[in-house]
Amino acid sequence: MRIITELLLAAVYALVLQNFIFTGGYGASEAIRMAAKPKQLYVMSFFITVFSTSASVICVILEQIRRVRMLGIIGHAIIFILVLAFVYIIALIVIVYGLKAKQRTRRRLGIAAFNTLVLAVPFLNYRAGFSVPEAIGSGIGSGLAFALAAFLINLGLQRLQKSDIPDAFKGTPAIFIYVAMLSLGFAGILGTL
Amino acid sequence: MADGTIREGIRNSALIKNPVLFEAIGIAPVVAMAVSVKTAIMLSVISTAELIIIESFTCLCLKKIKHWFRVLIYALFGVFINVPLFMFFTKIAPNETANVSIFIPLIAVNSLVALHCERVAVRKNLKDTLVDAVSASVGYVFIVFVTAIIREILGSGTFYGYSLKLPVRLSGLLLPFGGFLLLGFIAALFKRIIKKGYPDENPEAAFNLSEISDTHMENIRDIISEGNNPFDELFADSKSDIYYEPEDIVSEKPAVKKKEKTKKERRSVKKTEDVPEIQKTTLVNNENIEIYTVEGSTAETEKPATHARYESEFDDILNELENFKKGKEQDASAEDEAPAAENNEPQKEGDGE
Repeated sequence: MRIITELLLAAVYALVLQNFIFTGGYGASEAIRMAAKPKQLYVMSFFITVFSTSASVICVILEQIRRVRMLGIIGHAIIFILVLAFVYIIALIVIVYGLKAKQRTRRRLGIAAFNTLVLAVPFLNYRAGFSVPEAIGSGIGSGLAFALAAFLINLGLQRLQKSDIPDAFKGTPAIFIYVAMLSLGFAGILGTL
Repeated sequence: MADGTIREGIRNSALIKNPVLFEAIGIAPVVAMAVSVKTAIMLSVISTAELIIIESFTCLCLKKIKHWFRVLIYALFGVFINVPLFMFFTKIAPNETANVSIFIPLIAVNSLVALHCERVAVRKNLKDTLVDAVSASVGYVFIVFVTAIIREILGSGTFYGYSLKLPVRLSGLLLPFGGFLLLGFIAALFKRIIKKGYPDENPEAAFNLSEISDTHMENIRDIISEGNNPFDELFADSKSDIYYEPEDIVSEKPAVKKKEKTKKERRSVKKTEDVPEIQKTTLVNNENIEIYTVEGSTAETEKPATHARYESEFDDILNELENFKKGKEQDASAEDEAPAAENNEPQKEGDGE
């Protein structure tokens, strides 16, 4: 019961309170560009959830090794990127050779694996000293946070396109300001203001 | 390469297609890390080094490697370029480096590098690649510095660590929301300058917003609707992705036959009697235009990228089907003179519509 509670709490924290996209800016480029192509939202979010969860779990398990725990930031960065590379290769084997996926899926896999959000999750787990259930919750929550962010941005973009706004603000300027408002809201929820 | 071309390349990459402002690329480090001049210097040096080294390496060595392995190499290479730079900055500015410690490794997976490698390095020669790397770096570094200077002055009341003794501090600007807000206003200012200086250029074209109206709700309905394969979307051929627009794609096989029916089409087929099923859908070129061949009729329609055009095309196919039905009705009424049969036909038509 305690494990499930830890997992759920970490997931809710990553999704709602500390939505990494809005409160940290991690994966913001991917979320904004995904919002412009919402058809890819579910698949991409699924991939990101898989990568963030599996990478954060493996990294937390590796943290149990004393030598790894004693490493500094750059040592951890190397470990985390190698873990991510390992997970990516496994996923690639499954997707390419197992499911015989097409080019687009393979392409998405690379974008989903190597972005600031997925790499930031193990770092944040490491800093927070998360356990394995919390790491699972954090990974799942981050993937869902990405989906939520892209969804919210997409809703905003649809309204912005129909709105009568000055020419200079059309396109990315309006998107950035809209994302800033969302980010402000999440910062308010988190209490960092 | 002529000087004019180099200048044009720099103008395009740094100004008109500025990666941060108009392509929404590499935003995370800017909004999270560019809060002071010192951190801006770190971010700029690391990003520029990564972009130039990885792009050049890609151009020289990775052209023949598959895309999905190249992406892996960019990330690994990025981290290994970061290591000596991180150690260097830790020595000369330990406090500032400690403040942004986790952001520096994250620059390794900056989408800016992957995008420019895939867009330029794998398809052009070294000279063009270097021009692109330098010009994209110039554009990126410029935005990083503008953002960082404004945020440090207004948010911290300092410049390069020296206090300016300002009466007011807007500390919210140091948060990511402040970064997004500033980027929005800087992008608007740049856009205005570009429109005045280069009226023929359209910075909006750098970020394709034409597919925004493809809502996710529609997707949910597609996924749960009967007879729909939820893996169609996952494994279908497409030339469009969130980073790589159709023109960016290289060394990919052309897309071939694909079976796909939209919900509207399925509904129209179900409701209309005596209308043959849509037999096949073929991707005819790289512009994602599909021709639907209807058995027993000459009805053809195109599925364009934009929703509006799609609807007009869809109306066309409905008209075609209606004409087809009317023709059949006329044939039936001519052959069958029974009044009961004549009364039933219009009823059928009403049901079908």
